[in-house]
Amino acid sequence: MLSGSDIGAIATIGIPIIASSALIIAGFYSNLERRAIVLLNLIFGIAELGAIAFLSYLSISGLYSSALNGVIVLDGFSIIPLLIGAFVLQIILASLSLEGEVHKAAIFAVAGFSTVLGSFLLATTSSISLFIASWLLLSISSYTAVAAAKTKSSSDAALKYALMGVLSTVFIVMWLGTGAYLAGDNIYSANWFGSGKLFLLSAALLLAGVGFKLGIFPFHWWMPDVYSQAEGRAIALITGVAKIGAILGFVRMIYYTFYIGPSAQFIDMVAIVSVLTMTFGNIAALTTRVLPRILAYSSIAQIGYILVGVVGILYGASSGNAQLIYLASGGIAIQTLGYSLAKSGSFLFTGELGSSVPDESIKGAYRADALSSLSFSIFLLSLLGLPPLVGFWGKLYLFESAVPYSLALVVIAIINSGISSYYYGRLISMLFSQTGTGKGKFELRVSYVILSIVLVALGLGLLQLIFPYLSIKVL
Amino acid sequence: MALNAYYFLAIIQPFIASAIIALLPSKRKLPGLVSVASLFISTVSSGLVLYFILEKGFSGPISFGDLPSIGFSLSFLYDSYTGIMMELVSFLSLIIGIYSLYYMDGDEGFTRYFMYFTFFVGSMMLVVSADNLILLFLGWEGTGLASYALIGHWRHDEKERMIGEEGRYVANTPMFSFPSMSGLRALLFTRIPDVLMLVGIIVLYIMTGTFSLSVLLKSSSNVVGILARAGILVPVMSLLSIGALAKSAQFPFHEWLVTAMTGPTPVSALIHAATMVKAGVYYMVRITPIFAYGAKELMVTDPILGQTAFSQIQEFYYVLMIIGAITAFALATMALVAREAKLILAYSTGSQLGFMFAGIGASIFSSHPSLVLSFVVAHLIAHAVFKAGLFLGAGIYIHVGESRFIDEWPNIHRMRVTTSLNWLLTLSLAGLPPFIGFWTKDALVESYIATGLLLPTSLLVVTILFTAFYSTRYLLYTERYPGKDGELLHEPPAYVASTYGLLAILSILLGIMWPLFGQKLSMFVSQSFIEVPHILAEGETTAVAVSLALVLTGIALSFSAYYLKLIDSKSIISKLPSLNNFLRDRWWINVFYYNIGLAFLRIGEVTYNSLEKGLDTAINYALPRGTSVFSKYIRKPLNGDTYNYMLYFLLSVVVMLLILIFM
Repeated sequence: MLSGSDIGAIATIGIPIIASSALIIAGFYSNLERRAIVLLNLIFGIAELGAIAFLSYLSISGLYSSALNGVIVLDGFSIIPLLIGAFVLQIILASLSLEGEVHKAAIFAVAGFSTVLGSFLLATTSSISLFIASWLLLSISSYTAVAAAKTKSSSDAALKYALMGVLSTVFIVMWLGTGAYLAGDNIYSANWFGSGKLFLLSAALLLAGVGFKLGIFPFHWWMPDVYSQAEGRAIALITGVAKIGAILGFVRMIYYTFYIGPSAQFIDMVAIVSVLTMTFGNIAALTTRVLPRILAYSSIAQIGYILVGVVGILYGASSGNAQLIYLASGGIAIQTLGYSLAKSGSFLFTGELGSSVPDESIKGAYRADALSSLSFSIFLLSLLGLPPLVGFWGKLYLFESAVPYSLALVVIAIINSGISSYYYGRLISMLFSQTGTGKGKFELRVSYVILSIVLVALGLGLLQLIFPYLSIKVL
Repeated sequence: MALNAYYFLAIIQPFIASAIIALLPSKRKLPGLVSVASLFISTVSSGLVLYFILEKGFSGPISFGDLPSIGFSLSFLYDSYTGIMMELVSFLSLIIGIYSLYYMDGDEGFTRYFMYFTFFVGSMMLVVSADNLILLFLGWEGTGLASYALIGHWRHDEKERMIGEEGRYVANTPMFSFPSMSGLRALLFTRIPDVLMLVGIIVLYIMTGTFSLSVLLKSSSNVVGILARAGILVPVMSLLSIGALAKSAQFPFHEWLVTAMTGPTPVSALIHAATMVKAGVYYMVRITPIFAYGAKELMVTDPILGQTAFSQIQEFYYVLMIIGAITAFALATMALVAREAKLILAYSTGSQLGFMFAGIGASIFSSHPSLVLSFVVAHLIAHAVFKAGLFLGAGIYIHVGESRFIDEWPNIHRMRVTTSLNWLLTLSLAGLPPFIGFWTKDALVESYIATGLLLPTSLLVVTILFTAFYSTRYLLYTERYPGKDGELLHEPPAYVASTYGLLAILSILLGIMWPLFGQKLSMFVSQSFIEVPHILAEGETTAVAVSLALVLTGIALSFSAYYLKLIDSKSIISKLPSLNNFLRDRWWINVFYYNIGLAFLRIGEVTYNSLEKGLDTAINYALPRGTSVFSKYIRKPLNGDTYNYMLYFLLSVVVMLLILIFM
């Protein structure tokens, strides 16, 4: 007998599959009007959004905390950011109305729906086998999205991305293999505690394998290249949708793997990696003069902040402080959804200027297109963490959650935020520069405005309203 | 409900009007007319509030809402004192607003002037009506802001807008000031003590848990008890009072008021004579009953603590009385030799404020503090009326005489209407019966004498003589030494003359009626201060005789010097050059402040050279350079070669595993 949550989960999984099939078929008809693709996107996108919204309702109202025999974990921590992710997907797919070739548009849309499916499964699953399956789905659809542009530089980027991805997947498989050996399919039933060094080594493998996708130092190498060579909307898809699944799945796995007794060594390691990641990202962004690369380095820095929250969760688990876990996981959820909104908007924006464009190309954009430029500024300010935007609340809770672990870590994170104001501020001042003409009107103006309004609206109180529901399911 | 609406119209409405004025096109007199309309509404609403208070008595504060979590509430006092002050402030603002329509006509900053003018009125209304000390402080700072903007109104610093004698230096200190400088000085002189006052308010909140004046007054014995037990009674009282001392230009903070005379004359009339400088007096009168009656009640419940607290409070208020007396005396002596019309009036304002502060100080020594405080309020009202009128008159003289120096004016007695009206105002200032100034000052003098404190009382009594002399000298000077012969002097338009005319008539009318309503006023006002006394005079009839004799002597002296020409004042001055210069140079206090300022600059210079330069290089050069080099260095490995990346990736994993294995 299917329960309500099972029906919701099946719908959430089934809709992207049906959508992809329909789009593949539609892609064969090259004489089809673009409008048909856009219409299909819209129908399935809204259906998917509805399905996730239904699941959100089930989880927030406390009716269900899992689905499909406990394989899918339903908590606000994953569902709410995924809801935002499904919404961001719609914004990104809307940009396909600019694509000339129906075929390309269809491939990209298929990749988009596969990404949202992969993200959903990755973020919610507690099953080892489903994790690896959804990881592969997410990875492959990301490569496809990058490659779909069919230009020289995007092919380069896709190849680089795929090669690095294969390498990192090896480590993920090693980690999961260890887990399966110890526990069977259910990640949190493993007794890692008694496994000695093996436990630490597999943790390191997880960090390396998933860290590649997130851009954790020192596994971040591919990121600036790929982000600057690929098409804007492909990177918007990766940062806006795929990253949600990767981040949340990563956090869930780390927490569920180590909730019994994370060793102090491992927490210290995450803290050190976090400091290195944010510092590297911020310092490297300072002197870069290529716009998408600046945003890529800023992505690396943002992951560093999220790792501060991971430290908070692990420390909460080790000290038995559930309050800390609530705070840290809520912070991660907020930071993730803010990241998704701001980064997808930013990359769509820079994508309109072309790939690997110098930062000078946005000079004077405000005079040419005030609305788009203001929205872009809001994205950057949210990433910087200016109140009352989403990025501020995310950082606030993340940093607050790490205070009991180490004040020094929080101080370093705050200093890092301060450093980042230099390159974000520089970009904003260029937008409003008196010299330069900018690009003229941006075509996706409406998308930027919508994203920035969501960022402001969430920050101005909506987040506070839903914060109590954003916690990860505490074990 | 209706009362809330009147409060809104009287207090909040001017702020809204000010915002509207800021947005108005500066066409013709439109901003001014909007401002006057707003002030009119405020006056009428205040009048209705006062009427309700008179008719139905009064009770607790009126609240528009509150935020209990931070102790803030948008609540206003509803009592006799506030009612009278609201009406006084709004009425004088209206009169002076009308005068400003004429005076500021054609000025380039006409809109700006009326925006700040209206904003000031709103802030001042907030000060005299707020129940919440934080709200009061907001209004307090609002008046300071408006005062700053209006003192520096003529921002181009033209020569004719300055105050003091151009080119006069004493010990390298310039004794003159331009508008922009004066504005800054006023801001600096009041803002530093204001911060201390805010600290006092917050300490009071931490100790007692409330910002509300009415609550503080109701639980006064508790408040005094808590503070005395913690041993911080005097520090808290000092912090609470210092802002008031600066605001009311009491010695040694009086310097800002002198240079504030660079503002347009109606501004001097409203802000620097009738209202803002009275905010300090208002506020001190408001908080004094808390300590006066609090200590008395405490003596009943806890005699030992109460006695200690009371003697501490007495000492504090004795110092306050001395400060008031010194201010009154010092500024009166400066006024004796001043050449500038507005300076004479400014000195006199400070001096009269000194009388009020001395009265506040004396109240503690009386067996009926609320009675003495009601005299202070009466003198506040009287002074506001006649000093505002005098300033408005001075504006006309300066305009007609084309000079701010009285010795350059033609004989002003040829302007019959204006000068006769000014005589009424001046005699009120001089303290001649039956003008209102006589009665209120006499009531205060009786209170001083009743304290039996010799030093402050004698200073204050001597000041009465000076006051009578310099105030009559102000009008008589040109009778003997007309600066230029004149063609016919033009009277201003009737509506302008009627503004100070109204105030002049008020000052004599109130004076004639004082014996009838004075006692009622005292009783009415003192209802706001816990105790309503039934004994209505301190009973020192000798005081009346003494002060009357001094007033008459002062007037006689100035008449014989400037009208009868029996005494040659110029030759007396020339025989006492050092005294004359000492008074003209404002007791050298300006020199003192100026050199403190220079010393600070010097310290700043030394700090800059020894400390800041190094830090500057480190932070603004070395750090960015270093970061930039570092940033480029760490981006080096990212050269686009995928094989390198894979190598780095594998190496990183290996290194991490090794660290974990051997850790």
